[in-house]
Amino acid sequence: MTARDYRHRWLLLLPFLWQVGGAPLVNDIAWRPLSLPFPMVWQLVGIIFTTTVIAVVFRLDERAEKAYDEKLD
Amino acid sequence: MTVQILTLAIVLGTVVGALLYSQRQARVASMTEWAVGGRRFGILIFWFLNAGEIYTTFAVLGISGYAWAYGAPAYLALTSVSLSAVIGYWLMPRIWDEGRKHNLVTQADFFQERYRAKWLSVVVAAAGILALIVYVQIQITALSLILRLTLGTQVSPIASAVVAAVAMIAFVFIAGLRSAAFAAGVKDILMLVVVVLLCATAASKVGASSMLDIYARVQDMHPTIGSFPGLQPEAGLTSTWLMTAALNVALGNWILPHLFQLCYSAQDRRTIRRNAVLQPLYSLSYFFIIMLGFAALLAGVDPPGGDTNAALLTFVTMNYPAWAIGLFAGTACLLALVPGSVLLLTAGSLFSRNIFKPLVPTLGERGELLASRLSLLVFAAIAVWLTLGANRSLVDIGLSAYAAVGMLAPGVYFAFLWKRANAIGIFAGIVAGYVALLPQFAPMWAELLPGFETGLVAMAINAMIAALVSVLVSPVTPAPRQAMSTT
Repeated sequence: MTARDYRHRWLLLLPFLWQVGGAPLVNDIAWRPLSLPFPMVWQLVGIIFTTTVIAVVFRLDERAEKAYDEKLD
Repeated sequence: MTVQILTLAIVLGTVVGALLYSQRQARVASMTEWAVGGRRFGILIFWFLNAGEIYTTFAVLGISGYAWAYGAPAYLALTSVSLSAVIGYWLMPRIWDEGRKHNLVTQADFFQERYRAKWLSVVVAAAGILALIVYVQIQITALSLILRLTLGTQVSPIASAVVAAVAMIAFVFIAGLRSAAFAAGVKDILMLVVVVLLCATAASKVGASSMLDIYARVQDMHPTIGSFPGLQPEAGLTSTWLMTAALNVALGNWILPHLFQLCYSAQDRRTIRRNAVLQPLYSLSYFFIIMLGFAALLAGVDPPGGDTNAALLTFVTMNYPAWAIGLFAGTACLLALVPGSVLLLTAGSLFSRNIFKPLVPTLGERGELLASRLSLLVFAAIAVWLTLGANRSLVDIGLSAYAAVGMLAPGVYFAFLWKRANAIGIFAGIVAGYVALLPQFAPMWAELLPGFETGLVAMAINAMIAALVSVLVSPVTPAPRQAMSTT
Protein backbone atom coordinates (compact mmCIF):
# COMPACT_ATOMS: atom_id res chain seq x y z
CA MET A 1 0.00 0.00 0.00
CA THR A 2 1.61 3.25 -1.09
CA ALA A 3 1.75 6.04 1.44
CA ARG A 4 0.22 9.44 0.80
CA ASP A 5 2.68 11.86 -0.78
CA TYR A 6 3.24 14.81 1.54
CA ARG A 7 6.51 16.08 0.16
CA HIS A 8 4.87 19.34 -0.90
CA ARG A 9 4.60 20.14 2.81
CA TRP A 10 8.16 21.47 2.68
CA LEU A 11 6.65 24.53 1.01
CA LEU A 12 5.50 25.52 4.48
CA LEU A 13 9.06 26.58 5.26
CA LEU A 14 8.90 29.40 2.72
CA PRO A 15 6.86 31.83 4.87
CA PHE A 16 9.54 31.55 7.56
CA LEU A 17 12.24 32.39 5.07
CA TRP A 18 10.31 35.43 3.93
CA GLN A 19 9.04 36.91 7.17
CA VAL A 20 11.76 35.85 9.59
CA GLY A 21 14.80 35.32 7.37
CA GLY A 22 14.03 38.35 5.26
CA ALA A 23 13.55 40.79 8.13
CA PRO A 24 17.17 41.77 8.77
CA LEU A 25 17.92 41.80 5.03
CA VAL A 26 15.28 44.39 4.19
CA ASN A 27 15.61 46.49 7.31
CA ASP A 28 17.71 49.26 5.82
CA ILE A 29 15.99 49.69 2.49
CA ALA A 30 14.92 53.31 2.31
CA TRP A 31 12.29 53.03 -0.42
CA ARG A 32 8.78 53.87 0.77
CA PRO A 33 6.15 52.20 -1.38
CA LEU A 34 2.89 54.12 -0.90
CA SER A 35 4.66 56.16 1.78
CA LEU A 36 4.96 53.05 3.95
CA PRO A 37 8.21 51.88 5.56
CA PHE A 38 9.70 49.13 3.43
CA PRO A 39 10.21 46.64 6.29
CA MET A 40 6.50 46.95 7.04
CA VAL A 41 5.50 46.42 3.42
CA TRP A 42 7.76 43.37 3.39
CA GLN A 43 5.81 41.85 6.27
CA LEU A 44 2.43 42.82 4.79
CA VAL A 45 3.24 41.20 1.47
CA GLY A 46 4.69 38.32 3.47
CA ILE A 47 1.28 37.76 5.04
CA ILE A 48 -0.35 37.45 1.65
CA PHE A 49 2.46 35.17 0.53
CA THR A 50 1.94 32.97 3.60
CA THR A 51 -1.78 32.61 3.01
CA THR A 52 -1.08 31.65 -0.59
CA VAL A 53 1.46 29.03 0.44
CA ILE A 54 -0.90 27.48 2.99
CA ALA A 55 -3.71 27.49 0.42
CA VAL A 56 -1.50 25.73 -2.11
CA VAL A 57 -0.46 23.12 0.44
CA PHE A 58 -4.12 22.66 1.39
CA ARG A 59 -5.07 21.94 -2.20
CA LEU A 60 -2.16 19.58 -2.71
CA ASP A 61 -3.04 17.79 0.52
CA GLU A 62 -6.62 17.30 -0.64
CA ARG A 63 -5.42 15.95 -3.93
CA ALA A 64 -2.95 13.57 -2.32
CA GLU A 65 -5.55 12.30 0.10
CA LYS A 66 -8.17 11.83 -2.56
CA ALA A 67 -5.70 9.88 -4.69
CA TYR A 68 -4.87 7.71 -1.72
CA ASP A 69 -8.50 7.05 -0.87
CA GLU A 70 -9.23 6.15 -4.48
CA LYS A 71 -6.34 3.71 -4.53
CA LEU A 72 -7.85 1.97 -1.54
CA ASP A 73 -11.12 1.18 -3.31
CA MET B 1 -22.27 60.30 31.30
CA THR B 2 -22.74 59.24 27.70
CA VAL B 3 -19.43 57.45 27.83
CA GLN B 4 -20.29 55.44 30.89
CA ILE B 5 -23.74 54.55 29.66
CA LEU B 6 -22.58 53.40 26.28
CA THR B 7 -19.70 51.35 27.69
CA LEU B 8 -21.96 49.63 30.16
CA ALA B 9 -24.66 49.07 27.54
CA ILE B 10 -22.28 47.33 25.18
CA VAL B 11 -20.87 45.07 27.83
CA LEU B 12 -24.17 44.18 29.46
CA GLY B 13 -25.87 43.75 26.12
CA THR B 14 -23.28 41.23 25.08
CA VAL B 15 -23.52 39.36 28.37
CA VAL B 16 -27.29 39.05 28.11
CA GLY B 17 -27.07 38.06 24.46
CA ALA B 18 -24.48 35.42 25.24
CA LEU B 19 -26.56 34.00 28.06
CA LEU B 20 -29.69 33.83 25.92
CA TYR B 21 -27.75 32.24 23.10
CA SER B 22 -26.27 29.58 25.32
CA GLN B 23 -29.61 28.79 26.98
CA ARG B 24 -31.03 28.02 23.58
CA GLN B 25 -28.27 25.52 23.01
CA ALA B 26 -27.92 22.17 24.78
CA ARG B 27 -28.08 22.12 28.54
CA VAL B 28 -24.70 21.97 30.14
CA ALA B 29 -24.41 18.81 32.14
CA SER B 30 -20.88 17.75 31.70
CA MET B 31 -17.33 19.03 31.66
CA THR B 32 -16.93 18.05 28.04
CA GLU B 33 -19.90 20.09 27.01
CA TRP B 34 -18.72 23.03 29.06
CA ALA B 35 -15.10 22.93 28.08
CA VAL B 36 -15.02 21.80 24.45
CA GLY B 37 -18.57 22.57 23.37
CA GLY B 38 -19.34 18.95 22.68
CA ARG B 39 -16.84 18.66 19.83
CA ARG B 40 -19.29 19.99 17.27
CA PHE B 41 -17.96 23.37 16.27
CA GLY B 42 -18.10 23.94 12.56
CA ILE B 43 -16.08 26.38 10.52
CA LEU B 44 -18.02 29.50 11.52
CA ILE B 45 -17.80 29.24 15.28
CA PHE B 46 -14.28 27.88 15.10
CA TRP B 47 -13.38 30.88 12.96
CA PHE B 48 -14.77 33.40 15.40
CA LEU B 49 -13.09 31.83 18.36
CA ASN B 50 -9.83 31.84 16.47
CA ALA B 51 -10.16 35.33 15.08
CA GLY B 52 -11.20 36.42 18.52
CA GLU B 53 -7.86 35.29 19.77
CA ILE B 54 -6.18 37.69 17.42
CA TYR B 55 -8.21 40.71 18.41
CA THR B 56 -7.37 40.90 22.04
CA THR B 57 -6.16 43.74 24.16
CA PHE B 58 -2.60 42.55 23.60
CA ALA B 59 -3.19 43.13 19.94
CA VAL B 60 -5.11 46.37 19.84
CA LEU B 61 -3.92 48.32 22.85
CA GLY B 62 -0.56 46.63 23.17
CA ILE B 63 0.51 46.85 19.55
CA SER B 64 -0.76 50.37 18.99
CA GLY B 65 1.10 51.31 22.16
CA TYR B 66 4.23 49.64 20.83
CA ALA B 67 3.91 51.54 17.56
CA TRP B 68 3.52 54.78 19.49
CA ALA B 69 6.51 54.07 21.74
CA TYR B 70 8.89 52.16 19.48
CA GLY B 71 7.68 52.06 15.88
CA ALA B 72 9.01 49.09 13.89
CA PRO B 73 8.84 46.56 16.78
CA ALA B 74 5.06 46.66 16.35
CA TYR B 75 5.57 44.60 13.18
CA LEU B 76 5.75 41.63 15.55
CA ALA B 77 2.00 41.36 15.08
CA LEU B 78 2.40 41.09 11.32
CA THR B 79 4.94 38.31 11.56
CA SER B 80 3.79 36.16 14.44
CA VAL B 81 0.16 35.63 13.42
CA SER B 82 0.85 34.33 9.93
CA LEU B 83 3.70 32.10 11.06
CA SER B 84 1.61 30.61 13.83
CA ALA B 85 -1.01 29.80 11.19
CA VAL B 86 1.62 27.82 9.26
CA ILE B 87 2.53 25.85 12.35
CA GLY B 88 -1.12 25.45 13.20
CA TYR B 89 -1.80 23.89 9.83
CA TRP B 90 0.66 21.16 10.66
CA LEU B 91 0.05 20.82 14.39
CA MET B 92 -3.65 21.34 15.00
CA PRO B 93 -5.04 18.39 13.02
CA ARG B 94 -2.70 16.11 14.92
CA ILE B 95 -3.91 17.42 18.26
CA TRP B 96 -7.52 17.14 17.07
CA ASP B 97 -7.01 13.56 15.98
CA GLU B 98 -5.49 12.53 19.29
CA GLY B 99 -8.27 14.29 21.15
CA ARG B 100 -10.89 12.45 19.20
CA LYS B 101 -9.30 9.04 19.41
CA HIS B 102 -8.72 9.10 23.14
CA ASN B 103 -11.52 11.38 24.29
CA LEU B 104 -9.19 14.06 25.57
CA VAL B 105 -10.57 17.19 27.18
CA THR B 106 -7.55 19.13 28.36
CA GLN B 107 -3.96 19.70 27.34
CA ALA B 108 -2.68 17.75 30.33
CA ASP B 109 -4.79 14.75 29.21
CA PHE B 110 -2.72 14.76 26.04
CA PHE B 111 0.55 14.53 27.93
CA GLN B 112 -0.79 11.76 30.12
CA GLU B 113 -1.98 9.78 27.14
CA ARG B 114 1.17 10.11 25.08
CA TYR B 115 3.79 9.81 27.80
CA ARG B 116 1.86 7.37 29.95
CA ALA B 117 2.59 9.28 33.15
CA LYS B 118 -0.09 10.77 35.34
CA TRP B 119 2.45 12.70 37.38
CA LEU B 120 3.64 14.47 34.26
CA SER B 121 0.12 15.60 33.47
CA VAL B 122 -0.10 17.23 36.90
CA VAL B 123 3.12 19.15 36.22
CA VAL B 124 1.89 20.15 32.78
CA ALA B 125 -1.46 21.28 34.15
CA ALA B 126 0.32 23.47 36.70
CA ALA B 127 2.60 24.93 34.03
CA GLY B 128 -0.35 25.57 31.78
CA ILE B 129 -2.32 27.26 34.53
CA LEU B 130 0.66 29.49 35.29
CA ALA B 131 0.89 30.63 31.68
CA LEU B 132 -2.86 31.22 31.60
CA ILE B 133 -2.81 33.33 34.73
CA VAL B 134 -0.11 35.55 33.23
CA TYR B 135 -2.24 35.88 30.11
CA VAL B 136 -5.27 36.79 32.25
CA GLN B 137 -3.09 39.43 33.86
CA ILE B 138 -2.92 41.11 30.47
CA GLN B 139 -6.68 41.27 30.19
CA ILE B 140 -7.21 42.52 33.71
CA THR B 141 -4.48 45.14 33.32
CA ALA B 142 -6.13 46.35 30.15
CA LEU B 143 -9.67 46.25 31.49
CA SER B 144 -8.87 48.11 34.68
CA LEU B 145 -6.99 50.70 32.62
CA ILE B 146 -10.01 51.23 30.40
CA LEU B 147 -12.29 51.55 33.38
CA ARG B 148 -10.05 54.11 35.01
CA LEU B 149 -9.39 56.22 31.94
CA THR B 150 -12.86 56.40 30.55
CA LEU B 151 -15.00 56.30 33.63
CA GLY B 152 -13.06 58.87 35.59
CA THR B 153 -10.07 58.71 37.86
CA GLN B 154 -12.15 58.26 41.00
CA VAL B 155 -12.03 54.53 40.35
CA SER B 156 -9.03 53.15 42.22
CA PRO B 157 -6.69 50.62 40.59
CA ILE B 158 -7.68 47.93 43.04
CA ALA B 159 -11.40 48.45 42.57
CA SER B 160 -11.15 48.51 38.80
CA ALA B 161 -9.04 45.36 38.71
CA VAL B 162 -11.50 43.55 40.96
CA VAL B 163 -14.48 44.70 38.90
CA ALA B 164 -12.67 43.49 35.80
CA ALA B 165 -12.14 40.06 37.33
CA VAL B 166 -15.72 39.80 38.56
CA ALA B 167 -17.05 40.70 35.12
CA MET B 168 -14.91 38.03 33.51
CA ILE B 169 -16.07 35.40 35.93
CA ALA B 170 -19.70 36.31 35.37
CA PHE B 171 -19.19 35.94 31.64
CA VAL B 172 -18.07 32.37 31.83
CA PHE B 173 -19.93 30.92 34.78
CA ILE B 174 -23.18 29.92 33.18
CA ALA B 175 -22.44 28.09 29.98
CA GLY B 176 -18.74 27.88 29.34
CA LEU B 177 -17.34 27.91 25.85
CA ARG B 178 -20.57 28.54 23.99
CA SER B 179 -21.28 31.91 25.56
CA ALA B 180 -17.72 32.92 24.77
CA ALA B 181 -18.29 32.05 21.12
CA PHE B 182 -21.29 34.35 20.85
CA ALA B 183 -19.53 37.16 22.68
CA ALA B 184 -16.51 36.71 20.45
CA GLY B 185 -18.73 37.26 17.44
CA VAL B 186 -20.15 40.47 18.89
CA LYS B 187 -16.68 41.61 19.86
CA ASP B 188 -15.29 41.10 16.37
CA ILE B 189 -18.12 42.97 14.70
CA LEU B 190 -17.84 45.88 17.09
CA MET B 191 -14.07 45.93 16.72
CA LEU B 192 -14.50 46.22 12.98
CA VAL B 193 -16.88 49.15 13.38
CA VAL B 194 -14.62 50.92 15.84
CA VAL B 195 -11.47 50.46 13.79
CA VAL B 196 -13.15 51.64 10.62
CA LEU B 197 -14.49 54.68 12.44
CA LEU B 198 -11.15 55.56 14.01
CA CYS B 199 -9.21 55.07 10.81
CA ALA B 200 -11.55 57.11 8.69
CA THR B 201 -11.19 60.06 11.03
CA ALA B 202 -7.69 59.74 12.47
CA ALA B 203 -5.98 61.48 9.60
CA SER B 204 -7.97 64.66 9.93
CA LYS B 205 -7.49 64.67 13.69
CA VAL B 206 -3.74 64.88 13.31
CA GLY B 207 -3.59 67.16 10.31
CA ALA B 208 -2.72 64.52 7.75
CA SER B 209 -4.39 64.27 4.38
CA SER B 210 -4.93 60.51 4.35
CA MET B 211 -4.06 57.30 6.15
CA LEU B 212 -0.95 56.86 4.06
CA ASP B 213 -0.06 60.45 4.84
CA ILE B 214 0.01 59.55 8.54
CA TYR B 215 2.75 57.09 7.75
CA ALA B 216 4.56 59.64 5.63
CA ARG B 217 4.42 62.31 8.32
CA VAL B 218 5.47 60.10 11.16
CA GLN B 219 8.50 58.92 9.21
CA ASP B 220 9.38 62.50 8.37
CA MET B 221 9.13 63.43 12.02
CA HIS B 222 11.05 60.35 13.20
CA PRO B 223 13.16 58.99 10.35
CA THR B 224 14.26 55.87 12.21
CA ILE B 225 10.79 54.76 13.21
CA GLY B 226 10.06 52.43 10.29
CA SER B 227 13.11 50.21 10.70
CA PHE B 228 14.56 48.28 13.56
CA PRO B 229 15.50 49.08 16.30
CA GLY B 230 12.88 51.79 16.06
CA LEU B 231 12.47 54.89 18.21
CA GLN B 232 14.22 53.67 21.34
CA PRO B 233 17.33 51.68 20.47
CA GLU B 234 18.17 51.26 24.14
CA ALA B 235 15.17 48.97 24.50
CA GLY B 236 17.04 46.36 22.45
CA LEU B 237 14.21 45.66 20.01
CA THR B 238 16.34 44.82 16.97
CA SER B 239 15.50 42.73 13.95
CA THR B 240 17.03 39.79 15.81
CA TRP B 241 14.46 40.43 18.50
CA LEU B 242 11.72 40.37 15.88
CA MET B 243 12.95 37.10 14.43
CA THR B 244 13.23 35.33 17.76
CA ALA B 245 10.11 36.81 19.34
CA ALA B 246 8.00 35.97 16.29
CA LEU B 247 9.33 32.40 16.30
CA ASN B 248 8.64 32.14 20.02
CA VAL B 249 5.05 33.27 19.54
CA ALA B 250 4.51 31.10 16.46
CA LEU B 251 5.87 27.97 18.13
CA GLY B 252 4.14 28.64 21.42
CA ASN B 253 0.80 29.84 20.12
CA TRP B 254 -0.97 26.49 19.88
CA ILE B 255 0.63 25.35 23.10
CA LEU B 256 -1.41 27.91 25.02
CA PRO B 257 -3.80 25.60 26.81
CA HIS B 258 -7.00 27.26 25.61
CA LEU B 259 -5.91 27.22 21.98
CA PHE B 260 -4.55 23.69 22.31
CA GLN B 261 -7.92 22.58 23.63
CA LEU B 262 -9.73 24.55 20.95
CA CYS B 263 -8.35 22.02 18.49
CA TYR B 264 -10.38 19.32 20.20
CA SER B 265 -13.62 21.15 19.49
CA ALA B 266 -13.40 21.20 15.71
CA GLN B 267 -15.73 19.07 13.65
CA ASP B 268 -13.11 17.72 11.31
CA ARG B 269 -9.63 18.14 9.95
CA ARG B 270 -10.79 20.16 6.98
CA THR B 271 -12.30 22.84 9.24
CA ILE B 272 -8.96 23.28 10.94
CA ARG B 273 -6.99 23.42 7.73
CA ARG B 274 -9.29 25.90 6.03
CA ASN B 275 -9.08 28.10 9.08
CA ALA B 276 -5.29 28.04 8.88
CA VAL B 277 -5.37 29.20 5.28
CA LEU B 278 -7.29 32.36 6.09
CA GLN B 279 -5.85 33.13 9.48
CA PRO B 280 -2.85 35.14 8.29
CA LEU B 281 -5.17 37.54 6.51
CA TYR B 282 -6.67 38.71 9.80
CA SER B 283 -3.37 40.21 10.72
CA LEU B 284 -3.44 42.55 7.73
CA SER B 285 -5.75 44.63 9.87
CA TYR B 286 -2.76 45.45 12.06
CA PHE B 287 -1.88 47.88 9.35
CA PHE B 288 -4.65 50.02 10.82
CA ILE B 289 -3.73 49.37 14.43
CA ILE B 290 -0.15 50.43 13.81
CA MET B 291 -1.39 53.45 11.89
CA LEU B 292 -3.47 54.49 14.88
CA GLY B 293 -0.42 54.19 17.12
CA PHE B 294 1.49 56.44 14.75
CA ALA B 295 -1.41 58.88 14.67
CA ALA B 296 -1.27 59.07 18.43
CA LEU B 297 2.43 59.85 18.16
CA LEU B 298 1.76 62.62 15.64
CA ALA B 299 -0.91 64.04 17.93
CA GLY B 300 1.64 64.29 20.69
CA VAL B 301 -0.34 62.03 22.96
CA ASP B 302 1.12 61.83 26.44
CA PRO B 303 -0.67 59.19 28.49
CA PRO B 304 -0.60 59.36 32.29
CA GLY B 305 2.61 57.87 33.60
CA GLY B 306 3.93 57.24 30.10
CA ASP B 307 1.93 54.02 30.05
CA THR B 308 2.28 52.63 26.51
CA ASN B 309 -0.92 50.64 26.93
CA ALA B 310 -2.86 53.85 27.32
CA ALA B 311 -1.61 55.54 24.16
CA LEU B 312 -4.57 54.70 21.95
CA LEU B 313 -7.11 55.24 24.70
CA THR B 314 -5.68 58.66 25.46
CA PHE B 315 -5.71 59.56 21.79
CA VAL B 316 -9.39 58.67 21.58
CA THR B 317 -10.43 60.44 24.76
CA MET B 318 -8.62 63.60 23.68
CA ASN B 319 -9.91 63.83 20.14
CA TYR B 320 -13.31 62.20 19.87
CA PRO B 321 -16.87 62.94 21.02
CA ALA B 322 -18.34 61.18 24.04
CA TRP B 323 -20.35 58.61 22.10
CA ALA B 324 -17.28 57.48 20.18
CA ILE B 325 -15.28 57.18 23.38
CA GLY B 326 -18.07 55.10 24.89
CA LEU B 327 -18.20 52.86 21.86
CA PHE B 328 -14.45 52.39 21.91
CA ALA B 329 -14.35 51.77 25.65
CA GLY B 330 -17.19 49.25 25.52
CA THR B 331 -15.56 47.36 22.69
CA ALA B 332 -12.18 47.45 24.40
CA CYS B 333 -13.84 45.99 27.48
CA LEU B 334 -15.11 43.11 25.40
CA LEU B 335 -11.65 42.67 23.97
CA ALA B 336 -10.48 41.96 27.50
CA LEU B 337 -13.54 40.17 28.87
CA VAL B 338 -14.05 37.55 26.21
CA PRO B 339 -10.52 36.17 25.95
CA GLY B 340 -10.16 36.53 29.72
CA SER B 341 -13.19 34.31 30.27
CA VAL B 342 -11.90 31.66 27.92
CA LEU B 343 -8.56 31.70 29.71
CA LEU B 344 -10.13 31.33 33.15
CA LEU B 345 -12.39 28.60 31.87
CA THR B 346 -9.43 26.68 30.55
CA ALA B 347 -7.46 27.11 33.75
CA GLY B 348 -10.41 25.92 35.81
CA SER B 349 -10.98 22.80 33.75
CA LEU B 350 -7.26 22.00 33.75
CA PHE B 351 -7.18 22.27 37.52
CA SER B 352 -10.23 20.20 38.30
CA ARG B 353 -9.54 17.47 35.81
CA ASN B 354 -5.79 17.12 35.96
CA ILE B 355 -4.80 18.27 39.42
CA PHE B 356 -7.81 17.91 41.68
CA LYS B 357 -9.41 14.77 40.28
CA PRO B 358 -6.26 12.64 40.58
CA LEU B 359 -6.32 13.56 44.26
CA VAL B 360 -10.02 12.73 44.70
CA PRO B 361 -10.70 9.86 42.28
CA THR B 362 -14.34 9.47 43.31
CA LEU B 363 -15.18 12.93 41.99
CA GLY B 364 -18.16 12.80 39.64
CA GLU B 365 -18.95 14.94 36.61
CA ARG B 366 -20.79 17.51 38.68
CA GLY B 367 -18.06 17.62 41.29
CA GLU B 368 -15.53 18.23 38.57
CA LEU B 369 -17.60 21.10 37.24
CA LEU B 370 -17.86 22.64 40.68
CA ALA B 371 -14.13 22.32 41.42
CA SER B 372 -13.42 23.89 38.08
CA ARG B 373 -15.61 26.89 38.79
CA LEU B 374 -14.27 27.42 42.29
CA SER B 375 -10.65 27.22 41.23
CA LEU B 376 -11.18 29.79 38.53
CA LEU B 377 -12.13 32.27 41.23
CA VAL B 378 -8.74 31.68 42.83
CA PHE B 379 -6.88 32.10 39.55
CA ALA B 380 -8.70 35.34 38.83
CA ALA B 381 -7.66 36.58 42.26
CA ILE B 382 -4.02 35.70 41.59
CA ALA B 383 -4.16 37.52 38.27
CA VAL B 384 -5.58 40.60 40.01
CA TRP B 385 -2.76 40.46 42.54
CA LEU B 386 -0.17 40.21 39.74
CA THR B 387 -1.77 43.16 37.98
CA LEU B 388 -1.47 45.39 41.00
CA GLY B 389 2.20 44.61 41.37
CA ALA B 390 3.34 45.44 37.85
CA ASN B 391 3.06 48.21 35.29
CA ARG B 392 4.36 46.83 32.04
CA SER B 393 3.36 46.98 28.43
CA LEU B 394 0.73 44.41 27.47
CA VAL B 395 3.09 43.19 24.78
CA ASP B 396 5.82 42.53 27.33
CA ILE B 397 3.46 40.66 29.65
CA GLY B 398 2.27 38.76 26.62
CA LEU B 399 5.78 37.73 25.69
CA SER B 400 6.24 36.48 29.27
CA ALA B 401 3.12 34.37 28.88
CA TYR B 402 4.53 32.93 25.66
CA ALA B 403 7.83 32.28 27.39
CA ALA B 404 6.00 30.43 30.17
CA VAL B 405 3.92 28.36 27.81
CA GLY B 406 6.92 27.68 25.62
CA MET B 407 8.01 25.33 28.41
CA LEU B 408 5.40 22.88 27.23
CA ALA B 409 6.23 23.23 23.55
CA PRO B 410 9.03 20.63 23.31
CA GLY B 411 6.72 18.13 25.00
CA VAL B 412 4.06 18.65 22.37
CA TYR B 413 6.29 18.71 19.31
CA PHE B 414 8.36 15.72 20.44
CA ALA B 415 5.12 13.84 21.05
CA PHE B 416 4.49 13.90 17.31
CA LEU B 417 8.00 13.88 15.94
CA TRP B 418 10.07 11.58 18.09
CA LYS B 419 9.03 8.21 19.46
CA ARG B 420 11.78 8.03 22.04
CA ALA B 421 10.70 11.12 23.95
CA ASN B 422 9.59 10.01 27.40
CA ALA B 423 8.03 11.50 30.52
CA ILE B 424 11.23 11.87 32.52
CA GLY B 425 13.02 13.56 29.66
CA ILE B 426 10.19 16.00 29.07
CA PHE B 427 10.03 16.80 32.76
CA ALA B 428 13.78 17.46 32.89
CA GLY B 429 13.38 19.74 29.91
CA ILE B 430 10.61 21.70 31.59
CA VAL B 431 12.69 22.20 34.71
CA ALA B 432 15.73 23.28 32.69
CA GLY B 433 13.57 25.68 30.73
CA TYR B 434 12.15 27.37 33.81
CA VAL B 435 15.65 27.70 35.24
CA ALA B 436 16.76 29.37 32.02
CA LEU B 437 13.90 31.84 32.37
CA LEU B 438 14.97 32.98 35.83
CA PRO B 439 15.79 36.69 35.86
CA GLN B 440 19.28 35.91 37.18
CA PHE B 441 20.23 34.47 33.83
CA ALA B 442 18.91 37.30 31.70
CA PRO B 443 22.21 39.24 31.58
CA MET B 444 24.02 36.05 30.54
CA TRP B 445 21.68 35.45 27.60
CA ALA B 446 21.87 39.09 26.62
CA GLU B 447 25.63 38.75 26.35
CA LEU B 448 25.80 35.37 24.62
CA LEU B 449 22.89 35.96 22.29
CA PRO B 450 22.28 39.69 21.97
CA GLY B 451 18.77 40.62 20.95
CA PHE B 452 17.39 37.10 21.33
CA GLU B 453 13.97 36.79 22.92
CA THR B 454 14.57 34.95 26.21
CA GLY B 455 11.54 32.71 25.77
CA LEU B 456 12.98 31.20 22.64
CA VAL B 457 16.35 30.59 24.29
CA ALA B 458 14.66 28.83 27.20
CA MET B 459 12.56 26.74 24.80
CA ALA B 460 15.70 25.64 22.93
CA ILE B 461 17.45 24.67 26.17
CA ASN B 462 14.32 22.86 27.26
CA ALA B 463 14.25 20.86 24.02
CA MET B 464 17.93 19.95 24.17
CA ILE B 465 17.76 18.75 27.78
CA ALA B 466 14.55 16.86 27.08
CA ALA B 467 16.18 15.06 24.16
CA LEU B 468 19.35 14.30 26.11
CA VAL B 469 17.59 12.96 29.19
CA SER B 470 15.08 11.01 27.12
CA VAL B 471 17.89 9.15 25.43
CA LEU B 472 19.73 8.57 28.71
CA VAL B 473 16.77 7.10 30.57
CA SER B 474 15.12 5.21 27.74
CA PRO B 475 16.64 1.86 28.79
CA VAL B 476 14.80 2.09 32.10
CA THR B 477 11.40 3.41 30.93
CA PRO B 478 8.54 1.36 29.46
CA ALA B 479 8.40 0.91 25.69
CA PRO B 480 6.83 3.85 23.84
CA ARG B 481 3.25 3.79 22.56
CA GLN B 482 2.44 3.01 18.97
CA ALA B 483 3.23 5.84 16.59
CA MET B 484 0.73 8.68 16.44
CA SER B 485 -1.24 9.20 13.26
CA THR B 486 0.31 11.74 10.93
CA THR B 487 -1.74 14.19 8.97
